[in-house]
Amino acid sequence: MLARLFFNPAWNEALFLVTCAERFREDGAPAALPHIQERALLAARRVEPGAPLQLRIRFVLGQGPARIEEEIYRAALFE
Amino acid sequence: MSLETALRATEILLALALLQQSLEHIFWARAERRTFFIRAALAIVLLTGWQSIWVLAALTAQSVVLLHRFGGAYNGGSDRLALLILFCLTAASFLPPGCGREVAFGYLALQVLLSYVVSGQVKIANAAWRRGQALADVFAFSAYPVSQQVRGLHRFSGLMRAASWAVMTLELLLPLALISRETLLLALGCALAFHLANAILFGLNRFLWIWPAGYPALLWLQGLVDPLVGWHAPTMFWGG
Repeated sequence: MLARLFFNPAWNEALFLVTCAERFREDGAPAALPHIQERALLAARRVEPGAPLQLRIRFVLGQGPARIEEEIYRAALFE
Repeated sequence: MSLETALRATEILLALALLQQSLEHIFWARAERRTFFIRAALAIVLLTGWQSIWVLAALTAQSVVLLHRFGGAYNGGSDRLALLILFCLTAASFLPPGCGREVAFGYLALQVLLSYVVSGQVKIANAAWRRGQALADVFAFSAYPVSQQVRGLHRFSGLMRAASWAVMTLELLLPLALISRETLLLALGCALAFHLANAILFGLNRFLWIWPAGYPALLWLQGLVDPLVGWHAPTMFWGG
């Protein structure tokens, strides 16, 4: 926990991806999409190199019966 | 605190914050490694105080490039405040000693104060914050690993309401702390504890590093307003 006060790059990267997704949703800002693709690709390659990848952007609000989901983007399958 | 001391203290704290940010990028995002290696090197030179006027200018120019690279701020408010501090310090360094330099640094102090006051104003205007529900939602839905361990706290509505009001009170009343050096130090200590809690519970570590870099500007401003509105606690209490 103490180390994360100094070094927390994975979480800050996740926050940046959320920011990009919000920019894409609010402005339809196409410039935000390459950032998401680039970083999602890097993250996926860390977990499973060479696996096919499909990018979706989905917003989720609330829990249980009140849960609302909205998919705002779905890319073609990327090899 | 004299203007020159406050400017140098701000440079050192800003350099540490920029170094911390750069190291995260260097060891995580391969794409920007070279850019942030240069930024880290500039931050280290800024720490030493060598040619700080040109180092600040280089960091400012690089910040504009980074804004373009990320399509805006990378890390929201923490990056915006880093930019503001950098721009004000650079302006103050290029301006001759005197009124212009004080205005540039005073603008930074004002913006740091406003960062708290506006944040408090937005919260208190929101009924969910006044009830403590907004903070409970932050605990309930945050995906940060530490948040998951303390998720159960959102059920304690009294605690959530008390914590919400503590944060709003601190943010809204911070300008009143300028009445004396002692009250300002106390308020800044509370603000630092608030940023520390956010860093531990919600992973907002960059805020913890960059906001204190704005504090020397407030300490300098307090020195200016002190003769006008100064109030001092009994010396017996402070042992001074």
